[in-house]
Amino acid sequence: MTLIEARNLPRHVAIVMDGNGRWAELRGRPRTAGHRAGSHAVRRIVRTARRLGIEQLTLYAFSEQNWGRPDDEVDALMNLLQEFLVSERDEILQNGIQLRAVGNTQKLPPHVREVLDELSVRSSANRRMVLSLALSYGGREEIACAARTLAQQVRDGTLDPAEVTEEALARHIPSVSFGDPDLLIRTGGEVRISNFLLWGAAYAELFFSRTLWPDYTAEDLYEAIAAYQGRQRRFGLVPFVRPSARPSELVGHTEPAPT
Amino acid sequence: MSNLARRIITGLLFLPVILPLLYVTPLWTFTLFGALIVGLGAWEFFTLSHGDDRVGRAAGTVLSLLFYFVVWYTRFGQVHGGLFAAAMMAVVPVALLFSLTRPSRIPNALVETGALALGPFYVGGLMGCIGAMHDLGTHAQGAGLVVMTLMIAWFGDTGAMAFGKNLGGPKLYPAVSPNKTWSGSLGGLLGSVLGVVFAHFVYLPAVSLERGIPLAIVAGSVGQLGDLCESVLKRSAGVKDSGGLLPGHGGILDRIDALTFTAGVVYLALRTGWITLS
Repeated sequence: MTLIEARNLPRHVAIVMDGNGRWAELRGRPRTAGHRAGSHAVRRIVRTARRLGIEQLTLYAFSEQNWGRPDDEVDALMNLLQEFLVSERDEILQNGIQLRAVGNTQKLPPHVREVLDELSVRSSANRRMVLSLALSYGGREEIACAARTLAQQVRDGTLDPAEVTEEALARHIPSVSFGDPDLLIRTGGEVRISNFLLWGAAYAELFFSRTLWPDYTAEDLYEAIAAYQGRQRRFGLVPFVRPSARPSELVGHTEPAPT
Repeated sequence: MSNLARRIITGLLFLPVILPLLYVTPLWTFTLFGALIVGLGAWEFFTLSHGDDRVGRAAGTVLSLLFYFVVWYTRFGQVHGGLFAAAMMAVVPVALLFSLTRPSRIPNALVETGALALGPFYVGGLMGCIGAMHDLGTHAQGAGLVVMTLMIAWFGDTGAMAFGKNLGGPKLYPAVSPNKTWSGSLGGLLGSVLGVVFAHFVYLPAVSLERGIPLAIVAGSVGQLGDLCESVLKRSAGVKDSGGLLPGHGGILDRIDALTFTAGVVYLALRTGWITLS
């Protein structure tokens, strides 16, 4: 059992949920079976995060690039997403979770958008935890979209080019509208960001786990948080230094930092 | 029976109708009930502006109902933003175009068109806030938000009447409403605060006192202003009660004049995050 501090929790945890396909292949089952097992892991981790008191959880559910996968797999993922939203609806509302989607949700099929819109609106006054689903999401696309909005304002004459600052751009980046991620986890053993939260990840602690997403448990999340807290302690000695110049050992961790 | 007693009794009779609609039956039943209130309220509103011109009253009532449904369906533009924007932009031109088709009403066209453009926002839009907040959170939370809004408005109203009648004192704004006093206004705010305190301890614990009480004071004050605003309209039309449907309460519009303004404030507090449900 990993011990974590109740204080000094990351406020915003973001997860690249990778490994569903490989999990299924290892078992000789279709990829969709992996996604189904992955959706159970989502339930587990949402529940764990809520119980820990994490304020924000952002899950990379479906990337803009995932549309390029075979139609069957995309359809299966969309159906799983809809099932998830329907089955978790009451738990989300009863626990004061705000559900929102970031990404190009216009591209989602109507049967998904309908339940997503309904639940987003209904949960919009909840603040115990913000659960953001990155759907049809791409970090570069999100930044490009924000830049487009500002460019439009400049053309309309409502914004001076000198006012195109970091803050101005960030205001149009939905994935950080409730704050930057503090801890970004990727499961499944790959050591890449894969176009997730590019803007928000600027100062996030990165943690890479070998566990495939369907096998990811509360214990795995504790491990990641413990590692985050270990690093926090070390760097807490110089709290005024922005974590921009950090040792490269922080990137590419597959094991929790020794404490 | 005194007016105050009659008012309280009618209010209590109202509970068995509204509470099941809020808490028990499916959500859309309350939306339809809201539409009934909007319909009756709009009819009274357009009686003030259009007198016995039934076609004009009907047109205004339909326009208000349509706007109410759009506001509720789009949750003030939270979803289907395009439809909401279209409805916002359509009200004024539709009102003008309607007047264009009625050359016989030209002598009153300015007032009547103005009323046609105002009514949908005043009656439909603000009542739409109540429909929209009913669909927030769990069923019980949404219902609780509506009950809290009703309590801010109606406890406020009753508190004002009780204090004003018994304490008297300097008049609040005699040019508009000769009977209202400053003591009544203060009693009204106490009633509104009591409504939120009751909500916090009984049926809506999610609303904290430190956020709820300021909300009650603002929403209660704005509700009292809403009451005065309706009085101005009635004075302009030369009537005392907007209708005679509810004993002791005047018309529907007299009942919802404070409520619509209060509901607007409560809904804004929810949308801006001043009040959260967790």
